[in-house]
Amino acid sequence: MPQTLPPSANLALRVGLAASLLLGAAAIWLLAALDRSPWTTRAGLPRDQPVPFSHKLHVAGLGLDCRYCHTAVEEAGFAGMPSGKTCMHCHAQIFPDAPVLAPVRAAFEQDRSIEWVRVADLPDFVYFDHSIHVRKGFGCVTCHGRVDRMPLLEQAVSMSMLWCLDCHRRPERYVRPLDQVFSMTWEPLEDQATLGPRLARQYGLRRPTDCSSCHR
Amino acid sequence: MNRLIERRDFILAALAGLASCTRQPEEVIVPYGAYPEPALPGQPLYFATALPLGGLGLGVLVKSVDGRPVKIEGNPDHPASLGAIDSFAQAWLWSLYDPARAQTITESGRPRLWGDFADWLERVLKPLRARQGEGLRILTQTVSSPTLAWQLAQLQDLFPASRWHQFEPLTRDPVRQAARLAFGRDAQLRYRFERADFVVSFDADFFANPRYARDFMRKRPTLFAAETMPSLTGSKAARRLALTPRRIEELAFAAAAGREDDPEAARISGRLEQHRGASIVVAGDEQPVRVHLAAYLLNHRLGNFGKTVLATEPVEASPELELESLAELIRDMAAGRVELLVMLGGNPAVEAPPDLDFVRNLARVNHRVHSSLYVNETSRLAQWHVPEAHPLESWGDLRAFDGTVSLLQPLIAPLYEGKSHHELLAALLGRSQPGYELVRDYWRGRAYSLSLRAGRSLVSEEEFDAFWRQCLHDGFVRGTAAEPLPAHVRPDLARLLDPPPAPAAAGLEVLFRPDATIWDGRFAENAWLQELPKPITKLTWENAACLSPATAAAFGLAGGDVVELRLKNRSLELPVWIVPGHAPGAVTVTVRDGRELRLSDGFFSAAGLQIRKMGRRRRMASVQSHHFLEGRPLLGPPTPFLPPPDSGTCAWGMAIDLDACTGCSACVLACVAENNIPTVGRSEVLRGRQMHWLRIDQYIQDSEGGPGEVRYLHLPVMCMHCENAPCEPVCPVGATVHSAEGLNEMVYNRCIGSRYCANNCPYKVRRFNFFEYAAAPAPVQRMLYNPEVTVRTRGVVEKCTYCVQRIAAARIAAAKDNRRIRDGDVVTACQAACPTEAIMFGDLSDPAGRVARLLGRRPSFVLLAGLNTKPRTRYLSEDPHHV
Repeated sequence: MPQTLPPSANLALRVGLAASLLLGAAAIWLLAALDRSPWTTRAGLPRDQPVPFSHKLHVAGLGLDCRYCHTAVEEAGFAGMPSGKTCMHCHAQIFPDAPVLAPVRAAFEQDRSIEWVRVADLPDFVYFDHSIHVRKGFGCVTCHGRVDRMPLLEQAVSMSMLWCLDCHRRPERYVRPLDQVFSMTWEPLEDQATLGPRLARQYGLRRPTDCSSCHR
Repeated sequence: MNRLIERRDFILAALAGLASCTRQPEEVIVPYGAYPEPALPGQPLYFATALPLGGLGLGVLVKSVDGRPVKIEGNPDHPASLGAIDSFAQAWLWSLYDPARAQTITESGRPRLWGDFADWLERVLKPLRARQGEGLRILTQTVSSPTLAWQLAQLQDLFPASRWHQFEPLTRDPVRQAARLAFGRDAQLRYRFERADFVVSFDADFFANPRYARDFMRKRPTLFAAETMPSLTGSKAARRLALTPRRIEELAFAAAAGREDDPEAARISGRLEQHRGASIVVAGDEQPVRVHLAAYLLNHRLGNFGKTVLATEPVEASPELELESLAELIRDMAAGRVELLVMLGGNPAVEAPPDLDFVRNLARVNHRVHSSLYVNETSRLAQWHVPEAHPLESWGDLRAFDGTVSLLQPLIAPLYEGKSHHELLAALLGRSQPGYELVRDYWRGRAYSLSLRAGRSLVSEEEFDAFWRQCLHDGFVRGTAAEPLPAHVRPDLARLLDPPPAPAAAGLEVLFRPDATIWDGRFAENAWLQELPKPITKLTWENAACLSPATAAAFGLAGGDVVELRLKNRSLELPVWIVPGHAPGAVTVTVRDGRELRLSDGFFSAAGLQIRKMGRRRRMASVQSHHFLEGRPLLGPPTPFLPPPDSGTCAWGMAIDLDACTGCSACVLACVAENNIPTVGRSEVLRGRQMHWLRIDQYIQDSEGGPGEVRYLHLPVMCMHCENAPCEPVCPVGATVHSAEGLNEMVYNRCIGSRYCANNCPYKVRRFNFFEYAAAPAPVQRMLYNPEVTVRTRGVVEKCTYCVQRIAAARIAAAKDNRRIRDGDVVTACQAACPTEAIMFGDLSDPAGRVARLLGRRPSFVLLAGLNTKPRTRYLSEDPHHV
């Protein structure tokens, strides 16, 4: 009985099998890469806001402290967003009629909220508390990046759980002196490998990796 | 364990990338235009206020987050609470956000404005004013509020011929009548259980008062209870007699008259005699005057007055015999003497005794105004309906059981067009003032006289302002407890006591009692309370005629059989529920269900009830058989706890004192409110899908009291946080794991709903979201959620977390101060609510901590000890019945 398939069919089958395996792996890799890509995490994407507020101008240019606007950051879980009144402390005098500031004036005069697009957005099942992080020596820059270089605010890092855990497992790699928490430019004078563990002991840092540390 | 690939990793790989199917939704931050003080966003604030029940107030602290109240707890400084709270006060939160509340002022069903109402009122009042207010009647529920009483007195001045009537379906008429007979004037009794060694209850469920429950459990006197329907108080009695109302009357009379022919009465008298001056005889509010007088006489003879029983000035603003007052109003209505009837609160159309014919006679009143939280039967019979402002929306004041005045302050501006009773009365007085001014004005006057009594004179506005702020901060006005009564019981009291008459009618006796969760029916709209299993019957969402197994057998009835109850040509159909320990020969129905049979001459109990089986059955939503522990031996000796991994780590654990637990279920509601637990409705409860993380299992034991005498034991069961948790190894996705601090954690965003964990949990404490139960039907109900706790979605399992959000808050607060969490920093929601301090929570690794000390000192047990699950929750008991 003659063979139904030519000998080359063996090769075709092998190539086909290998290709499908490769394609499958590629597809999984692609999805995983997509999961970590800025498309999902929105890291590094400047976001449009109702008022084109520039952290670069206000922080680097004018030297405002983070806490001038984010007043609750040392006390509360939520860092706090400025009310229209905070903006008008200066903008009653500076650019009082600029059209771009119309929503700010409306907020102040009519007690109407400005709806800022949330840039650093954690899922609702994550309970993050700013106050404990800044009171234990973790700088704003560590998570929010160099906002003093951002004309429009963008998320600096992925803010995925893996990224959180990196620090929760080894906080000594990121801890800084308490008086440098709000600094944009602080660099350790000595090696972080020696400074970090010393500060971690001094501040009594824990390594909170239980699920309920953040999820509840 | 060395596996090639961990189960979680395999599933992670298999599902890799699926996560990227969802992208974070875009969200906005909405800051204030201008921040109010104090301006910490998302941080809770606590305000002291009070909540009403039966005219009296319970002092509470309300937690408010960003301007919305989210949790109600007891006020530790308030004398009626001492930090404890009951289910009713907690459930007010649900009704605050209930979209079914009356929202607009209506005239014959058409929406109107407050101004329209005020104009109409002015037109109607003008001719009345000329006649000194003849024809003007006000009908309220029992009033203790000093401000309301002041306004009503002003109304009386303005309209001297008008009249004010009070009526509540659970009126304390017999209590008032007995006080008048015993003292010759109105008075109030206050019991000091913390000074008593021996207590006799004639069908008195005094544990309904959280302060009494706390006082009682701090002292734990021996309790003797005679009652018809098993009550929570009776379940804690050393000796409990199940008697029909008539037998209780006879027993009380025999004990008071010192009759030796009644062995039970002789026994009570003998025991009481051993505790002269340290005993209490309590008669239930619903008991006839004769029983109250017997209690007076016994307390008097034993020298208890002034020691364990205090007589004080009345707490109610104007005590009256409410049934008589209502009957007089209805007579005048029938005679056409009532022109304008203003009904503040209540639902007299269904609450008034049916023989008085309130509804028919109401039609003869020209102008009818009703104000209530919900549009009810009475509202529909009135031309004008004014929505009542919720107690959390209004200014006001109320007196507590001991007379202390509590101030009510609003936690939120009225969500709808609600007006408080104060504001409505002000409109009648011709001046439209906001509630704040009305209450403050009254207290400006009172502050002056209060300060005079304290030897100062408080005159300036600044001084008053400081006084006012202090009272609002505390939640009550110091020095306002009811004054002790100078008068003594009249010496010839014994002559007033007459033996109970011979039974007049054949048949069964019937009792009308408050419902454990919806009270006199006023909480019928409240889903939290409706779904809260009623202690003793364990019914939810419905009620039944309760009777004893012997009576049921005599009539061939099984639980759920529908019967016709017939009393003096009135009848009513109800399913029956068989309650072990109920007195044979009597039937107990709630005041709301039994309203058709509640005649004015038998408002709390009557004889001559006939039962007829209808041949139909109803499936009853009782949770008694749900989450069954398979009849395994319950409590057993514990094995030692595992040590925490290092000295810096807490080891959380709980101790529950079964001897103190009364089964009142305040903890269940506290858990529901704290942890965003959804209500599922009657049909889902019938399928066993109620979501409560904490349940009170009830065990019924035969007692040594004799055949038919039983003991009710209450066992609160929530997640035991086992050190060897059977749920953890079976989870395919690692959604339930153990923390270093010993918590059995549930990670909702990992859970895929396999329910293996729930299957493997021997305690049956895990709940599954079969539907999107938490998806609130109305936007306003989203305001109910505690922002500190995830709102769970469909398809995930949930269970008690030991209030991990409270642990996290305490941990953060402690870390900020560079200290360890102190004993008492973490108070779980159930612990905070418990009136008898039966639930204690703390760090087991701290030998000085309260839980560790208790576990070391008292005998403790674990549930299903034979399974070696090593629970972190232990039960304390010295009562041999529990093991």
